[in-house]
Amino acid sequence: MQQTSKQPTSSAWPQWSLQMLWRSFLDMLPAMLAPLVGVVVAFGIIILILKWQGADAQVAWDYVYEGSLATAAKRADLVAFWMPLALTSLGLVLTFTAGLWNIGVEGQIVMGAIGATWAIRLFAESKAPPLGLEMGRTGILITSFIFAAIAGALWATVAAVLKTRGGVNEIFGGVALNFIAQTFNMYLVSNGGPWQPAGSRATETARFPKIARLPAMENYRRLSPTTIYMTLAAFVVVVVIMYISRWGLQLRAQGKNEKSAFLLGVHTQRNAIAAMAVCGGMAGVAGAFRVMAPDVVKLTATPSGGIGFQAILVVLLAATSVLLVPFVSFAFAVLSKGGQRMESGFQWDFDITLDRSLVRVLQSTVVLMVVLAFGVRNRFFPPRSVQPIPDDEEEIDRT
Amino acid sequence: MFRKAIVLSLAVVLILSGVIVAAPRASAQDEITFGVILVGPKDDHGWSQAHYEAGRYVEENLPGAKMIALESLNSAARPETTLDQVVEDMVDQGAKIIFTTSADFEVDTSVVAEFYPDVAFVNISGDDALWGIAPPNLGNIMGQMEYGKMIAGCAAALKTESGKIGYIGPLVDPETVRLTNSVYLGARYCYEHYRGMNPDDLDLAVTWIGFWFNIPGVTLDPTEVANAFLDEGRDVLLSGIDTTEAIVVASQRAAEGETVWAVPYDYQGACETAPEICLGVPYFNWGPAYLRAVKAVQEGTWEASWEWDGPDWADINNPDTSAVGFVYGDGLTEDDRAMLDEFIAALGAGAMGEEGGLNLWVGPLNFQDGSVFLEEGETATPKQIWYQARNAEEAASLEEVTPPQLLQGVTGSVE
Amino acid sequence: MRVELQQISKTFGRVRANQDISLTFEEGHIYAVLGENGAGKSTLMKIMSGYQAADSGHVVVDGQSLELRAPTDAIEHGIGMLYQDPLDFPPFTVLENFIAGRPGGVFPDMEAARQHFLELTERFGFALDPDRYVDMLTIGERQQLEILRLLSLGVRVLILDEPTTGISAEQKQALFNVLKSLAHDEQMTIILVSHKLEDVIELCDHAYVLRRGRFVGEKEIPCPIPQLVELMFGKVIERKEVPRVSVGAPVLEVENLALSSHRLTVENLSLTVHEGEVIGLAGLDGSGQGAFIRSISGLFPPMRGTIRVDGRDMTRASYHDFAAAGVAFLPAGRLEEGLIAGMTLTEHFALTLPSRAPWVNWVRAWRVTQERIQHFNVKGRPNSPIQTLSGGNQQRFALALLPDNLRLLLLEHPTRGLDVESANYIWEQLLARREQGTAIIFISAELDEIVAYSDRVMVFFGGQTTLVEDRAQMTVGHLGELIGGRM
Repeated sequence: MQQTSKQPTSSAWPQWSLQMLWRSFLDMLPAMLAPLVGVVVAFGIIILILKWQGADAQVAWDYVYEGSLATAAKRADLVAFWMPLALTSLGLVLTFTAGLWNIGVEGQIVMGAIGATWAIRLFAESKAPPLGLEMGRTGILITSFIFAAIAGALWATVAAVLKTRGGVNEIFGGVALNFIAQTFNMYLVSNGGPWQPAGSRATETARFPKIARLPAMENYRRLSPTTIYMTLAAFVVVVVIMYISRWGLQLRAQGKNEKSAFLLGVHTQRNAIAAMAVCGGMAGVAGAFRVMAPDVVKLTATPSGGIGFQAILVVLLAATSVLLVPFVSFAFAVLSKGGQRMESGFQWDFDITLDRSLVRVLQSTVVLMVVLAFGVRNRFFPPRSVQPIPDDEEEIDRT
Repeated sequence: MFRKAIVLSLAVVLILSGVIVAAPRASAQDEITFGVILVGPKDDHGWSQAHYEAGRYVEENLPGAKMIALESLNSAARPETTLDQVVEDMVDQGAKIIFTTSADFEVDTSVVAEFYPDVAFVNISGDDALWGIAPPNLGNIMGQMEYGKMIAGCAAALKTESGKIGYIGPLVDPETVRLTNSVYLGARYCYEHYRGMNPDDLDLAVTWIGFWFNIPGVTLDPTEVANAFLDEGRDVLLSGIDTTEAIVVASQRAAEGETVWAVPYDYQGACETAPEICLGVPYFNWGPAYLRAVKAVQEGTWEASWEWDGPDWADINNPDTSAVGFVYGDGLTEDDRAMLDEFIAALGAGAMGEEGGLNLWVGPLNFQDGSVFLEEGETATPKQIWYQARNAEEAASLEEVTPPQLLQGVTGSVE
Repeated sequence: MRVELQQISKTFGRVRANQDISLTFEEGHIYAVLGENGAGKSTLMKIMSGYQAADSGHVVVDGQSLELRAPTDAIEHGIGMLYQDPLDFPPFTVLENFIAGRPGGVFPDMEAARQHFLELTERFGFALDPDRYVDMLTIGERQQLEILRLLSLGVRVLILDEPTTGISAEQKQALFNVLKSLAHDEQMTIILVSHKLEDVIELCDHAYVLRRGRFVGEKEIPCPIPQLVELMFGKVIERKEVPRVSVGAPVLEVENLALSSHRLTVENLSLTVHEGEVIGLAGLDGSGQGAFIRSISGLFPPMRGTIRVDGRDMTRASYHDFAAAGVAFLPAGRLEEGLIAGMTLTEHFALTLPSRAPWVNWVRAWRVTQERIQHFNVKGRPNSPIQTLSGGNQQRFALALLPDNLRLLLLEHPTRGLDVESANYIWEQLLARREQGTAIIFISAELDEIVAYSDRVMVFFGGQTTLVEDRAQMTVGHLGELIGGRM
């Protein structure tokens, strides 16, 4: 099969493409095996930790299943937690694709929660809403989401502008902005803060009025279908951005090599700010999900509670692939919900106290192992696509 | 001392007989599961641990009782869970009564209680049951920590040389203001009666850090607050927060040669940090109240009520009878202890309405803004004490109650 | 002391820094090791001073072959090197630095050291205060300190890497006097690594010349400078005369441009480039040509002066504005700046094809990619990731990516690392663009490339520029002298 022409002739085409298919399959094999190996190793480590804590691994998985998927009610709770996590992760796909480590996403969720609460206070709780806007339930809910999105987007824009104009790395800027957002949230609802009801001893706002609560499903009082529809819509939008739009291609380019992308005519700074803002907007809406959830309906002391950081792990694990995000975030939700049941199950049924941070350790171990597996793969079995072809172009000429 | 010993031995006999009598009755029928939901870790050496141990106490003293506890329920530690979901799990596990042990759970408990009318709910430190608006299956329990704090204030007054003491407060609410005022009343009384000083010269300052424990950047740093107090010449520090900065800082400064003292809070063993400068610690003992509630549910006699349990004046440190206690610290001399014993006895007599007993919630007492809390000779009602508001008794609803205020004479503000 | 280098070879990856180099340094002489950037002289000296190990070959001192694992080994055998950036410890005083690296235990005798130091400064006429902190010193003073330190350690062979960069004329004179006295009075061996012909002629007795990792010749000094230049840059290979395109309207007008970076300043640069003209920029790396070419592509804002493209003032315009005005820039590092590793050829076109649509027309991108890579003879497929292409193909692809009808094309080392055939092909493509009126400005380290393709040449030396317009003067020899700083 020593062919000299540069393009395959028509007769060679089927065989050529079959060969290409086989070749790309071989290329992808380690890529597919790596995360699998990572997960298996992670599970091994987790079993060891469980053993060390005196717990039976088999029972542990039973609890994880019981706490996340066993009953319809558990599945509803799982979805209720999954949606804001998935939405945040979808937003992060954009920034990570553009090479921006949006650590500030946690603060963007908090600001979104605050934004939604503000809208509700303005339009649903106040007797004289601004501009005399008396809105119905739909209007109030939409306004809350808009406020949340704007608040999150603005907060992300601050980090982006700090980076592009001030030269502050988005990681450091993000950490600082997370802190400020959480502190501001705490100021609002604690120690006689402006949003804490008079005489209240709880660090939270009053429960939102009925008109400002997301509709719950008939059978599952804690799950609102609205969050599912919105997250689904966001998924479609991000898929379109990533796979069809020029903007997605530009983000990918600047994520791989910002300097080159800039020299090739991409407005890298503008894109960076836009990607951050869109991500922040989505994180903000996720924050609104958190405070408007039917079993919360108030701004709490820590409305996010770290789901922004979980979302970062999700995106790392999904290798910034938007198509993987739903699955990985689902797995994380299962681990979170199931992990909590595992902890209480061992405590209640066996009187074994597992460490409270075990769930986080579990998640982090999976991420670490998968990332490590990718590293090992790239080091020892580099995919053909990153292997340089030597100067003689023989390799590529031969088909 | 003798009386104490008798009470103690009586208590031991009582427990033993209870165990012996109760043991044969334990059967499948009598098994009862109760839930305890904690806001912090169950080993926090403070508020949450006291509740967890109360649950253990119930398990030990009520055969067939089984606790299912969930620690650290807050959105920072468990973003994936809400009180509603935990309660559902606990009910699925057969819990018949669930204790929610934080003010942060108060609203959610009253919402969730309606979903499970057959389960009893007890919110610790709440006041829903006080106003008749709570669901019929939601009650409240609180301990009369005012007495513990009065004793703490008294101990501080006995030791202070400068006449200036400092109180590290958490955040402003009726409970914390109530406790600060209690410290002040106890300290004033003892400064006058045992030290023979002018009580108006006694200076109690309170600084609110903003939360129950230090959150860097968000709250004031309690370590700095403690040091600032000492720098001002305040030689006794009292803690109203969940953590141990007061005694830690005092012991550091004592090591540098200063004569300073501390009174920690919440956890019975808190003096262990620095015994030699510790004047004692007021603490909650939830066990007996939990036991009563669980037993009542088991027997079908439980009714929602607003329960405010006082110390057992016969022995305030009796683990089976006293809801509030005060452990003496090594910083107290024999004379100090004798005076405190006398003070406690007087408080007890007053609380039990005996002749010559001492009630410090008697007018004239004014608030910081000059308004009258209690007229001359007027005795405060429980609601007035709870809310530290004059109009608490007449108010038709919680909204009408005026915000709590510090007493005239206390340095600091509730703003 | 006589030092011999015997058949030294050293490779870094695929770069052969030193190939089979044998040199001899006798005592009592001052040697120059000459060569342009990348000729391998620094590598060779680092091997000699124990800083790097050779792949093969020996360093022989007085007949004894040395095994040098660290600079301290070399110093023990009397070989010391003064680096371009003196390796001292800024937070310490001069005296503390002076005794650093000395045997003498944990508690050195500070008084004796001070005496010794003062003796040495007096002998060499250096004005160094032993108690000053090193970070207060000028580069020249730090050099002096380092020389004293090496001498006090008993060094008999002193290697100096570009010692006259960044020091004043007086310091340079003092340094040269000391070096001459060390060689001629004390019979030490002095080795000067430099590309400054001035310095070499003034100081040295003998010059070894390296080119592209090989030893290419030696000269007794004094000798005529053109002979050295020829050794350094090689014989001029006469290329076929490039047909000159008639020069059209001015495309780029630069007036009194001043550029400033932390490394150097360029002042009063004026240049007008016309349609179809090719301007070569010559100079050693970092002489200002890189800053200049970036300033006229919107990447490096100038301090003063004006830049006009087609008569429009673009002095402070952004890169994207320059691009919109038809100015394209192709930097040297292809995969670092210019192409995106991890993306396919088609994706590159999808990214750069002008389009107003918010989505990517993949069919068009694929078609254009096929056309262009065929036209530019790029050996690769539309779906090949760019990094799998060879260097020559990457460069051809980078050219293929450039839009047609450019006004001004700026290139940095357009043929670096390419074989002659590829380089010729690239130039064919570039020169073809002149037909459309595109002006070309390019930087190259290859003087013969500059001579062959430029209509005019601008030489940069330490931020100063000389414009060579007379074709008669456009010889490798003359340009080499200008690059070396001989005006």
